[in-house]
Amino acid sequence: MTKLLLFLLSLTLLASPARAQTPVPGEDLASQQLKQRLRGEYLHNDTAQAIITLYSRRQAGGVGWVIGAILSAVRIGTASSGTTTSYGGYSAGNSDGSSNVGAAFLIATPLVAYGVGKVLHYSNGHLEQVLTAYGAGQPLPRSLRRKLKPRFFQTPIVQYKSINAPPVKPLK
Amino acid sequence: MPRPSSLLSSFRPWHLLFLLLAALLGSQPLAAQTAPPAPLPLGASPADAGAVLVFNNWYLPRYEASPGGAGDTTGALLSLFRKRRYAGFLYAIPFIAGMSLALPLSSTDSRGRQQVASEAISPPIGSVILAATVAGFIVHANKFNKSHLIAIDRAYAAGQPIPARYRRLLNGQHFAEAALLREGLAQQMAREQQAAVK
Repeated sequence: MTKLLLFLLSLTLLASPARAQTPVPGEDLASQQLKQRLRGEYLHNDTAQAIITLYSRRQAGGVGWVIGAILSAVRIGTASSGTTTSYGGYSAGNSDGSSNVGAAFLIATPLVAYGVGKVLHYSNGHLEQVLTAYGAGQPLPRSLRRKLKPRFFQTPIVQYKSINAPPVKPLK
Repeated sequence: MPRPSSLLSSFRPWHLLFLLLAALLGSQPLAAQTAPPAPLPLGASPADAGAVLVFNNWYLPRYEASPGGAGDTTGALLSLFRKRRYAGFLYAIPFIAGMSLALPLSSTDSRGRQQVASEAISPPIGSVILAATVAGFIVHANKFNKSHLIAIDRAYAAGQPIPARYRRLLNGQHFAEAALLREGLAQQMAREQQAAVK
């Protein structure tokens, strides 16, 4: 039953509802609108667009770490502890019926911390600061420049396909 | 002539298959009614001028905001359809519940031994839940599919109203997401135009 619940929980988290462009699970409308405003301000600046894409991706990555850590913590914490040893055809089990809440906590804490750190480091506030400084002509910090990979420059804002319709009279 | 109670107890999960088949056969005339007999291919309809396919090939017609004009109904419809379509996985919950009632449960103890219960909790109730879930899912997936969205959008462009069963589902959130999507599309197109000029 726990496995089923976990499976459903992961489905709930993975199946992100309709969102316009940024792949951050659970991102609210205001955050998306902020990114869109920034994209509009630096519309013809490829580097600024790539920075916004980079921040979106890293935010999504941070959320992913937190979700993964929580899911594995629940799985580890609800599994019954004990060891099983097989001697030929016999198997001797040693189970005290307790759960592994402590182990789950130990394993999950650093992973959650890593994810939360990522979300905080690549927050929208920092994004705005970086873009403001960049727009004012300051050079990008080296740590950020190193992270701007070609794939961030190639990501479109919204992926779309146009339909080849014959030219007709404009719609009223 | 078996009594109803023996009918109920003789119900087996594989009987669902027949129910499912019946539901499918029963839903076909309905689909034939709502969908046009031969839908035009994409690009063949006058409503397709300026339309794009976004995300996973969802149809989005052109929209020009005008002061005092109609809102972005087609964009909101796209948002509604995608949201509902993705939410279809929630049918997994009653499905799993029905399965665990209709079929014997198995459990694994701490020594790794698997035990299957001798009988299921309640096959009749579970089967009814399963049948209702599957039928509901078929209706849901049929209501929110891509070809219906195209048909509604084309009819709307031709001046027909949005069917009431979709219109009453639209809310402000859908319109806000539609505005976000339209603006993002406009930005992307502006960037592509500029790259083409260069």
